[in-house]
Amino acid sequence: MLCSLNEIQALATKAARGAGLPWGLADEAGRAARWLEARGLAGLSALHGTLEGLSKQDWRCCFPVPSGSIWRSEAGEIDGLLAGVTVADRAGQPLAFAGDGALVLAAVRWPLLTMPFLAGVAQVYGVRLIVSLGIETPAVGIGPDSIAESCRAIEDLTLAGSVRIERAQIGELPQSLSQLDGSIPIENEVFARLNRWACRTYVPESAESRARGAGGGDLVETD
Amino acid sequence: MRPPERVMRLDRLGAFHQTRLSFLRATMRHVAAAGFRFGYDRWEIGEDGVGTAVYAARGPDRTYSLVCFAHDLDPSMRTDRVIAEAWDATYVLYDGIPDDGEIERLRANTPKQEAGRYRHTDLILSRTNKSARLFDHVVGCLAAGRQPDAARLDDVGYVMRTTAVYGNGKFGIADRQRYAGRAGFGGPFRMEMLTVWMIRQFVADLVDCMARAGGGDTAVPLDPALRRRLGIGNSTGLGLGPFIVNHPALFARWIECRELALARVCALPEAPEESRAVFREWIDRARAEVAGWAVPDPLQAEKIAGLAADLDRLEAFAAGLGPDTAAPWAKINDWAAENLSLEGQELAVSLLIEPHGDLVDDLADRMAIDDAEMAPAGVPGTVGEILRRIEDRFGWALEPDYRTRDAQARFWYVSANKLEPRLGERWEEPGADLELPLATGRDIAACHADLQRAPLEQSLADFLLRHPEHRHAVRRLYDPDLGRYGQIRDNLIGADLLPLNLLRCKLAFFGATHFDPKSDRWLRINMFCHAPYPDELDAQPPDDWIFPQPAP
Repeated sequence: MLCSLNEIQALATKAARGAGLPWGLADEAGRAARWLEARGLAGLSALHGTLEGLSKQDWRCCFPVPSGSIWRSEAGEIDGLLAGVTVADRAGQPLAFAGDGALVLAAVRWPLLTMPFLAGVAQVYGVRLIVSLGIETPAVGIGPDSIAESCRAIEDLTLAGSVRIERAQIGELPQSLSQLDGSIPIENEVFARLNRWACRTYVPESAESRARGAGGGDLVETD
Repeated sequence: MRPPERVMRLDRLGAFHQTRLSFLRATMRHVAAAGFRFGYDRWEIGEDGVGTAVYAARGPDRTYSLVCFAHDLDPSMRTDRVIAEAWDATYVLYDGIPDDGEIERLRANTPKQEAGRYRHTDLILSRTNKSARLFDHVVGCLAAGRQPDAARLDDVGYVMRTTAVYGNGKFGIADRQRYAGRAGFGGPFRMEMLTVWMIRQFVADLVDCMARAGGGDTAVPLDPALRRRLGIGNSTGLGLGPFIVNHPALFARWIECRELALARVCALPEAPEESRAVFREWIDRARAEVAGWAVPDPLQAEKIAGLAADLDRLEAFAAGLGPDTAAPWAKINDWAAENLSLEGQELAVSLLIEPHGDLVDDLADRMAIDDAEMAPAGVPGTVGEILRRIEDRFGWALEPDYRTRDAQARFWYVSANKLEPRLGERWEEPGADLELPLATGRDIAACHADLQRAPLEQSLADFLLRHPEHRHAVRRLYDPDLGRYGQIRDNLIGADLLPLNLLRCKLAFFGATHFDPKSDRWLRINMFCHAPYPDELDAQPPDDWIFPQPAP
């Protein structure tokens, strides 16, 4: 089916909330999914993957512990969405890649979801970032609003052994993905699965709510 | 500018009236200035009033088409509730000129409204129902060769009303960002307003068409002056409330522009006789408007009676200011603030702004914001700093005692059956665990309580790592775009919440008039009442109609 960007964001936000994340994180999930889909990347599919994992365990253990230059999680695997949020919250602090070093996130599930947050981080530091996910996938260049085409190689990557983030050297300007502005193709199955989570945020009608919640007053349309 | 603690209270916001900056007025000014030409490209409506019509709005850069489907609706199916499944007429505003294939695609989907699917070429989706009181009466009169009674037209104010106007990506239609960069359409809700205005043209043409079908040679078209007395009605429910809470930066911008307009006027050192005459004229016109604003709701009826008295007093006070009075507009505003009802004070704001289009109309183009794709990266500061920030600037949020039942009496949610926002009673209905994040004050207070238990020197980023449940509250505390007017300083889940105030405020920014509350959570309004139609924009000024000329 063809979806608008707003529809994608709303679905992703509600699905994340329905899967158990608090509203603030659900909002970040919605934005990240939209950011990716607007660049032709399968953000909703990745979000579905990540929510599958987070809903089956204590998602709080899937944040990275932000300490030193190698971040790990208590659960053993870092969630890609929570990794992005955690790095982005610390933008402006002296993170390892702010200088000549690299920040390494160990064992990241659905690393695609980390990428939109790194764009925001690149903006704060006024740099471009290079993200390496191991020798089998090409490095991904990320600027404040852009992401390199090479990101397609990690669209379906469920687990990266490590995600290494460092500053790009001058001259490394990758070809960026162009932005779409609507009628984004979404697989029906992905939409339906996320919608099942979204539906968990809705309140079933009760006798009280039928009488009161919608509006009350005179509902007979006589004029 | 008026301080936020004065402006951002729900009872005051719920007393707002349209101004020059209201979206439908700004839209009409733009369309007229840009030289848009209107006409219909297709009129295939049968004698039964059923069929298809396509109207074109041809602007300097591109054409927008209103594709209209008129249906034969069983009166028993007619309901204003957003949950309806069939309507008298359904519409899409299309980006460009649709070919036959596109019209067939729209015909397969538009009559189904929410149950259809749309593409990014479809900008706005809407539908209207007939006013059972007025539609058939007007058609019957015209078919019999006579004009309908003006008083009867005024009593209802429209022959059709919209029950939803969907934009910004709903059901697959275009995201706002697709057209927000186009000249004249960057302001909020401009495409929606263009759509409703064109719908009004279609409805008027449909009335004439059906009168001809019924009366043949005897039929007369609706007199243009009578026709202008008809706006487009609208029924609005709780859905508007969450919008302004969920888009705090956008809402803050609307308020800021309105306050800035008032501040610019009040800063004028003197008032030339020409401006004073315009002000007097608009008080007169407002009086005529208020005289025609009759509603069954006793609370609102009482406010309207007070407003009529306020206008007399406002006129008397303004007349008492000599021509040499320094800063006369500020004096009027200050006097109104101390002497008039909230309705009167806020109508005075509209009237003070009215004669000063040259001074304020530019603000109408500054009322939208560019929504960043991602929230800004970087959560700055420490627990100690944000505690001070809350205590300095968000004291209103800490005031209610949220341990009491009344302070948390309500909760906002989305209903599973209708997918629409609803307001529940927390202690009587199930579902509070699925509450929408609209309890801004309570959530800031809860965040504040946990902050007080955290080390003062802890970074806010680390606090959020331990308390991700406070993330939405912290975003509100730190959003740099919220500015002074970013928070409604009332408890949005309290027992005394009047949700109508949220709806009325947003509708006033749209430019709606004749607020007609039907309960504490839905109301009817009128839009474009007295405005010229697209087909008479050459002969009528585009923005001199919001209040009618008083009868001589």
